[in-house]
Amino acid sequence: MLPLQQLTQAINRAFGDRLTAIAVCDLARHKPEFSAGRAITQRQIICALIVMVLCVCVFIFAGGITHYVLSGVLAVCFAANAGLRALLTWKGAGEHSPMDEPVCATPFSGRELEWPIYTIIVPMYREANVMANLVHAILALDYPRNRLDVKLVLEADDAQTYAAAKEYARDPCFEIIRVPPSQPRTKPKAANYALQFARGAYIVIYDAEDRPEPDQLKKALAMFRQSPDNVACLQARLNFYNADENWLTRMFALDYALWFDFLLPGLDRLGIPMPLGGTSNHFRTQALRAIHGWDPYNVTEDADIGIRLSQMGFRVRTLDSTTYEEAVTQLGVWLGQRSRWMKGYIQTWLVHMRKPRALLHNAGAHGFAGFQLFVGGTPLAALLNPLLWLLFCVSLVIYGPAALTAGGGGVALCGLILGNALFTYLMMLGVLRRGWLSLAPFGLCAPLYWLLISVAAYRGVFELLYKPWHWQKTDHGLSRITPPNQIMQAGS
Amino acid sequence: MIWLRLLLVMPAILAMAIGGSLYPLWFALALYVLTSTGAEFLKRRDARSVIGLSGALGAVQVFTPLGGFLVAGVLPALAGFPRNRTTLGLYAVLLFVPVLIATLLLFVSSAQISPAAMVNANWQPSVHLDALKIPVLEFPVRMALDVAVAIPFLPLLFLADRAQRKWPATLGGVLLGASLIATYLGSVLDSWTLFGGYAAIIAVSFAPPRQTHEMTRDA
Repeated sequence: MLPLQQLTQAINRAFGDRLTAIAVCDLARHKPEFSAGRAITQRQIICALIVMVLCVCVFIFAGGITHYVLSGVLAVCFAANAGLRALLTWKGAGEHSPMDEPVCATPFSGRELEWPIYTIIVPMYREANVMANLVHAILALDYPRNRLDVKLVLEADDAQTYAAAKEYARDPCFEIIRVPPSQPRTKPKAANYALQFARGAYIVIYDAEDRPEPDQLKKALAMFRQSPDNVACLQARLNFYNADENWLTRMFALDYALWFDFLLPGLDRLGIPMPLGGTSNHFRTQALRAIHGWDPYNVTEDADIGIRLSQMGFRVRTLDSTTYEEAVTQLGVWLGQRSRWMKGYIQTWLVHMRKPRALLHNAGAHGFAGFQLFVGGTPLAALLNPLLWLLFCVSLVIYGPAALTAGGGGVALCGLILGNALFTYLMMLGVLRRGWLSLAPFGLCAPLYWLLISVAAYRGVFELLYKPWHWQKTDHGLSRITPPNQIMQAGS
Repeated sequence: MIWLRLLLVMPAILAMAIGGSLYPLWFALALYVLTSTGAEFLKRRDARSVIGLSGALGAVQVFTPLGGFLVAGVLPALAGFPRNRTTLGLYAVLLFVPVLIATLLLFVSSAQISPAAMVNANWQPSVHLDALKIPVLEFPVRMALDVAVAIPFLPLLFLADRAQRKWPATLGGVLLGASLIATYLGSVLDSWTLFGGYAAIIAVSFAPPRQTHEMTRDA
């Protein structure tokens, strides 16, 4: 009998082009309205032009109050995003947070054949240096080894990673899939390619540097079995094993703690469509195939797929298990990663706002509003932040100290104080669930961190215009802190 | 431990007692309950409790900066002085809102801005930035009311110290709310001063106590 690895290679050689075409075009062919293959539609361009003309009219006819109106609108938008985050934090911190739901990690008896096959997809590109740690982390998962179907998805031209995979991934549960070269060269395209080889009833996607808690698959499985069939995806929490390495990693860890420990559970509780995090997304394979997999053209395919699942009648929930990652340690790499995220959020907003009435119908009024404020509001707030500072400074120059109480400067200042104070406070609160209180004082640097995010947001907008599908690769394995061999179990 | 805690609030009581009134004593006791209960909530490190407590401390700042200052100073002593980055972080989270509000009040005061005039010309909050002026009790009736309030209030001190359950703090909130009304009837101005402490304890009492479920890792 032909070994599985050889069979996969044979299929790859014989049908590589066809499989690639499916990976790239399946969504665009069946659900073109959800594909980011077109960045912006004609109707959206017309709407944008109308808004711009209205702004110019206000500027011309409103005369002296233009400054007030502009400052007021910007300040309200900025504060609204901060306000939603405050509400989500409150809801996410509730006594019966979705994260707190007890999950039995042993839904089956000890007989291994009763466990369903679980597919693990790990798209990798030029990450030979983390291969040994990845293999170690996957083999440390508490799941019957012969029920694991691990797909290491490599680009065909990435010889180094392939060599590392051959060296370390020798266990029969590993399978190396080499994706033939084609455009766009994105992680979701690679994941779609591997999806066609998936044998499991459940799928999880990890990044190469991930360290999931060992019982994560069992917890996910148990939660899927406790949930209704329309729960198609579970998002595990993410955080960093090198959180305390430098200022940037500390701020990043605060950001992630707030996002995954409070904001996403808040979205879950309020029934607002949830943009997923890039890794540790557990899917029912059937549902993932029903929605035609990931969008290969969206550079935050994770955020998009969460919203698309909601639009297509599925639910996304949060899972009480953590995957530890490597926080980016260098500013340049961080800016590249964050600008991709900002670009992807704008892409996602544009895609799902092509048919606003359908979104309103599918997500409900609160879901629609939440989507605007959370998915649209995240890049918008980052773009507005420096504008508000600029307006305030201009007011100071024009009006002097009176700008504090009169003119648009006062309004801008109110928005800045309210928004930045809320962002700062929420980032400090973010550590409470994890007990990482030693990081809390660094939350006071949030306004500075937010200015960096603003730089990334403007870079993301620029990239959206000139290279919308360009995937800014984030380099890993740069941390001085070596990943722990065994992540501690929560509560142990 | 409760005596040690009482000892720690003594300077506050003494400072206020110089004003020649029993009223500051009760005010300090109210603050004590706030801090004592707050310390219990802090130990739980539950986000909602910390938000509630932090907001309550912010409210104290609005109405009585001196009270807020005392609570902010005493609370760390009750929950354990910062010994490492972890406890320091806890106080940073807790004191962020009160410090921000105090800074804003200072700014508003120095810039001669009257928020009251913006909202309602008749509304006059008692924002004492010259907080060291101790209000002097003028009405013996009110003193009697304060003492009457304090009698059921005393066992609460002990209960609050063990505020593992919600009801002692809620009871405290109700009693103090009643005393607020009584004090309000006695003197409008001073009630603003007390209101900060009362509002704070009420807010704290509604934050559900809960055991944290996960504090296994510290970065």
